[in-house]
Amino acid sequence: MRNQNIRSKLRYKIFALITAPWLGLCTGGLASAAPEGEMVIAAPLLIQNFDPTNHQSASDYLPHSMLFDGLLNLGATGKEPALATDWTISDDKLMIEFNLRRGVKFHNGDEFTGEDVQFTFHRILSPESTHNARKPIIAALDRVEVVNPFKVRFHLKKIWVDFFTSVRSGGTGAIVPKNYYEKVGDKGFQQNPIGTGPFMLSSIQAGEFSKFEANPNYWGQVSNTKFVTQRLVAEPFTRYAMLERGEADIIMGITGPLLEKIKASDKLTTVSTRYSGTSIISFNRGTNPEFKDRRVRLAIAHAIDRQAIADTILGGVCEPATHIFTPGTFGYEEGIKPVPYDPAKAKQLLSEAGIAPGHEVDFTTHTQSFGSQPNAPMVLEAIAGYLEAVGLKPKRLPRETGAWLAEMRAGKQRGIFYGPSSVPDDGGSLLRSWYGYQAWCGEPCNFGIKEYDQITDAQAVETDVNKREQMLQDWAKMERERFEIMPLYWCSTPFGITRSITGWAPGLLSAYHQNLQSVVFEK
Amino acid sequence: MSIYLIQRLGQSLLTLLGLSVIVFALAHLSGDPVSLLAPPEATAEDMARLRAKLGLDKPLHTQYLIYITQAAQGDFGESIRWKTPAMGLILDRFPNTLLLSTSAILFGICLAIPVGVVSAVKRGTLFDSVGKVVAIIGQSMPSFWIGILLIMAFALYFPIFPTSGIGTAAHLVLPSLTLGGYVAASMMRVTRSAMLDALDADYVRTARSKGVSEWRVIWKHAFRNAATPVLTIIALDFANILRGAVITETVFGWPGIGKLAVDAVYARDFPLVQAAVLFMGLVFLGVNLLVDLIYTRLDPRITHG
Amino acid sequence: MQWLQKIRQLPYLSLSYLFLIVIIALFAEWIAPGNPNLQNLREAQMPPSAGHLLGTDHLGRDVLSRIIFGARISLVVGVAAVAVAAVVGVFLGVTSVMVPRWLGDAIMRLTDIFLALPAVLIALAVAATVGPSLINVILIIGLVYWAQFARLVRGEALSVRERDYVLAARVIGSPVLRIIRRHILPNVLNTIIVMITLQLASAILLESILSFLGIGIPQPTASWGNMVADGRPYIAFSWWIVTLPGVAIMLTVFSVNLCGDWLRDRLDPKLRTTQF
Repeated sequence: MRNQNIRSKLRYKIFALITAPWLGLCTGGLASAAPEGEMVIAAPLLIQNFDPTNHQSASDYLPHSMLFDGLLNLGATGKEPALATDWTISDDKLMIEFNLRRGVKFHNGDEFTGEDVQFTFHRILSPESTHNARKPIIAALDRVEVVNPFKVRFHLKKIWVDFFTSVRSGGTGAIVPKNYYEKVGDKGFQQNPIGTGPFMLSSIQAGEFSKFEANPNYWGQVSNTKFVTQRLVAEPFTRYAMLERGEADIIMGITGPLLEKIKASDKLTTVSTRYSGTSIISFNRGTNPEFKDRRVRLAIAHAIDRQAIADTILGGVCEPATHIFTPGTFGYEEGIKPVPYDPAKAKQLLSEAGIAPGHEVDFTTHTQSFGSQPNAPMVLEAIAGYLEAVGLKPKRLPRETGAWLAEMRAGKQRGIFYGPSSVPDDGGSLLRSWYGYQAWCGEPCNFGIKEYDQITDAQAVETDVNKREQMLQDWAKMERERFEIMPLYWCSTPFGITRSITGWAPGLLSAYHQNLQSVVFEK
Repeated sequence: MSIYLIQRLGQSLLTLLGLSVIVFALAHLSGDPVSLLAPPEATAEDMARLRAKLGLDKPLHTQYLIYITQAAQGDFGESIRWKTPAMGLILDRFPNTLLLSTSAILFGICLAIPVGVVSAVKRGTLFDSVGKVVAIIGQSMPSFWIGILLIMAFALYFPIFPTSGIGTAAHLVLPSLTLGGYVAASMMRVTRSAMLDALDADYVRTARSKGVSEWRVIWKHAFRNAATPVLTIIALDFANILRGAVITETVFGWPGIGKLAVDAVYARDFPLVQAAVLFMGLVFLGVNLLVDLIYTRLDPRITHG
Repeated sequence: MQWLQKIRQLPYLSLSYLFLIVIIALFAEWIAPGNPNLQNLREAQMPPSAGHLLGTDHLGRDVLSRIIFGARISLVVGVAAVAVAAVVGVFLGVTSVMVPRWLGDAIMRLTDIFLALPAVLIALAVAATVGPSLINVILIIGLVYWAQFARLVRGEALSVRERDYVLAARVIGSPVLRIIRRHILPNVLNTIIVMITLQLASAILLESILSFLGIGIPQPTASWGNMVADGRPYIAFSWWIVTLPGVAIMLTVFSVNLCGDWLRDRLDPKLRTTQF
């Protein structure tokens, strides 16, 4: 009997142990209701690197374009003056003088002056900097001179041709406050960032959300949305459900049937940024020497019905590319003819090149979506299907993003591989990244073509904008002939939005410069 | 008893240590966080610098020694991705996982125990079969599918509950149903079996022959004795899901330690992965130890091999 | 009439269903109407029709053919993974009982470690290291389940070891292997069989979860698990892409569970109140 009593007492104790914290947590966990006028953005990625001097990738602009301004900002029609109102370039092109905007205050009330510009760029130049685009900046910039609080001079070592055309370069780089940064240090700045931007950071939960508040003293268009929350939601279906239900006002990272559903709905609609990405299919001639033959590369291009893939899997978000440069890229050449879908021609070219049916080719595929190409796993699988239809036998080598990145850096990717690029605004940087001795993907991307390398180097120092554009356009035509790489898609980034969002003008060619202050938000 | 306790504590500590070695090796073998963090244009020297900054350039066993000595002092390192102390991130989120787990267990109990008991009492009837079917169904579908179906049904078509996230009691319902449905099956099975055993016992027959009402027989006598294995399964299931229901948390965007740990693995965020696995191991071993101790007190006849 | 009673309680429906699935898996090439991997984007996401009895998926592949071939993959993965887990687990579990104490304890510690490791995270980390493939999926699932076999079998083997005839055998110096083969294994066999059945159900589900996490059976091979995981976005529209393989999984896992329960009741009632 005594055992029974102990047991029942114990049972109640255990029951209490389980329920008590639950009740406590339940009531304690009731968050305060969302404040009026809070706009929620649900995305599959959340960037919480708040120090622009430690800029790591294009997606960093997601928070940076909220909190900071650069000398230029990326608007809906392109780069426009921001903290710099106008500028003059010296005759020898080695000095740019910027006039800075007056009356701009940082979020903590400090005045913005030339000292802050100098501090920001000198931080990037310093040896311990881990800023991602450090190299071209160090190569071009010698130092920043503060002439007076509202005039700075950039003294250059060599001509900085893409300062005004490429987002990767320094022009749109965010400016941080010198006094505050020196006071709190880099760790302190990361915890409490201060900028001049249209929003201030109000709170974060690492890995879950970042909450922003409108900056009422913004020098530009003050946001009518008082509160913005960027929330990480990994599952695409859940993001869609949140939009349907009104739990999110903007969602990113949707394609295919979910996108169709949103377009078909009365309550919802989409906004796209054209073109936020370009992608290519490249060929490792080392592991698969048959790719040295241009006919084989062309055959593969003829074999793939890119329009069908775009219509079905990509839900109209992407357009078959005629070239790695998009129509918005600096250096784009109009009138380049695409390679038409022609499986018969593909088979013919293959047999001409001596490739027998059933020939095995390595094909590096992906298990996760990555970069500017939505739904990469499915797109690549569809491509594999088309290759099979013309008699090739693709040997799929599935890679997860982390493994693939490591492989690419080491130049060890095999066979046919895909390459995405975000914010494809400058042809010179695209050329440099994918074709030649400076390509980031190692040996397989270094084709050893003299003319290509010559052009890459020449356009990097060409100061005449028109001449440089011509060089890139000529190169584009050359590449269409040689067809070293197969262009894949120009993709927009669709955002699913509710009808309470209007007037939104996101930055040109970028999925990450969202310019949310332009949104008219009625909730 | 206390010798046993010390023995068990020692074993658990050894297990935890072994856990740390295995997860350390696995995490570091799985890849290079630097290649994920560094931008595409980074050169080999850039990455070497990043690696040195993160302490990843030293030989593996040195890194492990540094790691374990720091961990013993409570410093589990900083998350490479989120740049905040790893254990802090986990402890921040653990209450959410705790909340979800207890809700799921409570739901499981409310569903499984009555069904299990009645199934046992009405053995062989239609109710028994239907009960079995309902319980096993919860374990027959992948949990992400159940979760998505629930969102579709009760957040979209019938907009009763929120789709995801945390905040009010309503946010708790769908994730708890998903997770609870899974554990309800094993609870129901064990309840039914335990009740069957209990109902077979002599004293039950005695009670019945003495004219005690069926209700009392079932609940006051049989269930009391069936309680031990039922409690055990509840505790063991609790220990299991307390480690973070990764799938449920991902689908419902529930900010718990499971989701945190999965994201960390994708990002090759070693310190966070290691801290997470150690923490989960600690919780798991702790609850198991508790269960064993309570079991000993409840039934001194149990031998320990 | 006892045997009549027993037969009446056979889970008939489940066994017949499982038998059917095995037949389908074995003779997939003859049963399936078409090539499961043949893509046709222009016919993607078509509802069930005369040409495609269960419709087409997002790449235009015939869903029925994929489900039929998928049966083979899902069963093979499930059975092979559980076989791996059982072989390793039983070996270690039984050995730990018959070797010197310190070795046995070490094996126990290893088992405890693996039981304390969170399965999904370990699967992710291992997959990130070795890459996704059919063999790796089998090995990963085996890695997740072996410890449960080891622990259970060890418990059983321990109690067997203390029995009179075993003690006698050891006293007269019977070789260890003989003792294991003649005395221990037959007695733990029931436990192993039950556990195999129940873990098979879990393994089929785990394969689907691995696909959900992106580390499952790689394309273009169809498995029920990766069909359900990849078809998630289509659930509200082209529902046949994800619902039908999902139903296949549900029915199969359910049947295996039911049979496992029945086996447990018949073979080893002691297990009714343990947790799997």
